[in-house]
Amino acid sequence: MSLYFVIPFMALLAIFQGTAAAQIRIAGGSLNLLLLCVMSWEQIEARGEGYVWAFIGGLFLDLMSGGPFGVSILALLAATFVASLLGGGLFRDRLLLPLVTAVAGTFAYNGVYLVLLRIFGVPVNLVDALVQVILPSALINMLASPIVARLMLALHRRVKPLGVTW
Amino acid sequence: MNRDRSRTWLVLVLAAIAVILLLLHEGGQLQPIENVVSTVLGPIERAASGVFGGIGNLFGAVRDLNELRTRNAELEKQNQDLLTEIAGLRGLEGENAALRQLLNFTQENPTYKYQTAAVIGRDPSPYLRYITINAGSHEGLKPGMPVVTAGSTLIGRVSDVGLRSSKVQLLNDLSSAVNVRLQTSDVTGLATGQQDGSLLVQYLPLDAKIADNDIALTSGLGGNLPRNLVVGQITGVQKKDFDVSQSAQLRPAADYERLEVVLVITNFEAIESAEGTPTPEATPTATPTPQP
Repeated sequence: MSLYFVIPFMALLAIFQGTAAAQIRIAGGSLNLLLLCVMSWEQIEARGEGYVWAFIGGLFLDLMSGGPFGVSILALLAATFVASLLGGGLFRDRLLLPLVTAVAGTFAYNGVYLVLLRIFGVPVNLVDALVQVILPSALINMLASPIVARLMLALHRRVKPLGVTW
Repeated sequence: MNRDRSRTWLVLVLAAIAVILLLLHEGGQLQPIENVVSTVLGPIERAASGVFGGIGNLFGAVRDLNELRTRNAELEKQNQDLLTEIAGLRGLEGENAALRQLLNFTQENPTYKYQTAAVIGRDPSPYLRYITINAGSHEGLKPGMPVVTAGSTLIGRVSDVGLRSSKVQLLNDLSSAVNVRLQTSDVTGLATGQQDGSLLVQYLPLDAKIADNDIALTSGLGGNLPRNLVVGQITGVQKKDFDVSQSAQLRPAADYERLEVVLVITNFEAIESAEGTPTPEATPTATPTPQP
């Protein structure tokens, strides 16, 4: 898909993360629409484009965040890698795949994110983060994943991607 | 197999670029590019904040209903207590005015200059508590400047400054630590952000009597924040026999989730400390003696 679409799309998703997404919450967890879109696209397209989406989306998240730069990029790449592994044939069931991907991807994303935050000296308590943020976020993402997967599939069919243009 | 290999290379290349960007950001080389991007994104973020805010408020309203009911009952009781207190305080007002004149009080409470800014975004990370405001170096902002709401309530400090926007680290961020003084018990402690977004005052003297509803103000220790800015109110004390100090939960004086407009104090001169962040001490405040 053309970068002229991907860049503003990722920017919009990142802005959504910083505005409305924080309100869609269970306990301390919130919906990560950008993460779900990136992982879905990697599974649908399966040509590595998801990684480019993850890079661009992570770039916008880091620009909007007060945390160490690059953390969101690396965390999204890790989650996309997990999504590509799962989409590579472990789960062929179209109903189950988005659900499993959402949970596994959320854990991968938050796991890498937390490790990097700790490396940069942010005093995150990993157990509290797991209970208060990661588990609730995984639940919310899992509930939203079938809808997001359907929307991304519809988008894919509509745009008939010609591959990444440089 | 070839496709898998090329995808692996793609991941490695993108990860390497991310690390390089990280290093460049830490070195400040990315600042011009970040300024351009934040200048472009700022108005979009502001517009989206208004649109998405409405959607968010809908979810927030449902979630907050129970919390609001409890809070309402607490506030009604507090209101009754405060009315009683006001009656007693009126008598002290006249005496206070005379003492202030004697101590040349205005020198200790300088007139601050403020830069008003709107909150245009929040940190997308669930672990970090920053907001983005639409004022930057163009408006005279610098890192470290205190940020307050109306009523002299401290909400955080400016952390990163762009040309037209800045990031503010809120007090309830995990990396935030502010020296505070409890108004009634007159002891000092360190207010730190917690994982769940609350505040905890730590290193309070073990023998101090900490009361619920005591107000925490900035102590001015360390010289990096003005004194007597409101931080929050004590809601519960934590004390264990084997501890060397006690802690207390602090309810922030401002609702960090609903900030819309903030004020940046632009003429406060922070004092650079050679030791870095000072360790708070239990320093009793000297009672001023009026000069004959």
